[in-house]
Amino acid sequence: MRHPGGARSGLTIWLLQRVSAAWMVLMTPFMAWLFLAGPSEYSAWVALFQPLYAKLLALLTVAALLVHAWIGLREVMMDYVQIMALRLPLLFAFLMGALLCFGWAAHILWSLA
Amino acid sequence: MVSTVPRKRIFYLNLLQIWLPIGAYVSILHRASGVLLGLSIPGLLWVWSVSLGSAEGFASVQAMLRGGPGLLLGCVLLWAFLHHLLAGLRHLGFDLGWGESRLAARRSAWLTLLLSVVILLGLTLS
Repeated sequence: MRHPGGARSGLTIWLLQRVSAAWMVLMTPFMAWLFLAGPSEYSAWVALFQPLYAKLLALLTVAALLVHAWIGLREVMMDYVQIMALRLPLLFAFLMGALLCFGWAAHILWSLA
Repeated sequence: MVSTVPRKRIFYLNLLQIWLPIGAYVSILHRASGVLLGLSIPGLLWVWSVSLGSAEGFASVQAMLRGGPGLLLGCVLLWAFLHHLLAGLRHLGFDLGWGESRLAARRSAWLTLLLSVVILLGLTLS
């Protein structure tokens, strides 16, 4: 059966998986610092996410995480969910879930007091 | 076109009885940890929003991570993250053609398994 995605979509997805992974690897030292030596006071924790560049970096990292997770779950489902009538709704549900999570992250960041 | 593949093949894939190379276990755990991490994203976002929502919320997240089930769950997710990160770096290395020989791949597989546990213990005990 031919996939309805076209011959090149697999390569694009393969590349997106690696680009999002590389971005998260770049952010890992910063996240490690947050957990190991980051703010232990609420006000400092909020202040960290106040500047626009911090919001954008955080949102970009969440986006990379969601793209990476969706592609990974898609790959696992392509192996274990063989019934198309089940796989496609699941893929769609995970896509909607990822979009909701992205909106939620943006809401968290832009509604800081 | 007539298929030359026989219809019925011998199928013997009992994972408890066959011997898999160490890389296979790293790969299986890479998937399992990835699924676990992916499905935990909404929960992590929730913890993040609570910690940023109010000073009380921040304190409750701090208390949650200090012990009990919260700490245990945090350790499981931290291990999943560390294993997934190291196994992923190993794969990015393969993409670049590093460590593709059988010996090197086995070494990096063992290193992935060991390092993820060592780093986890180092972080939780300190």
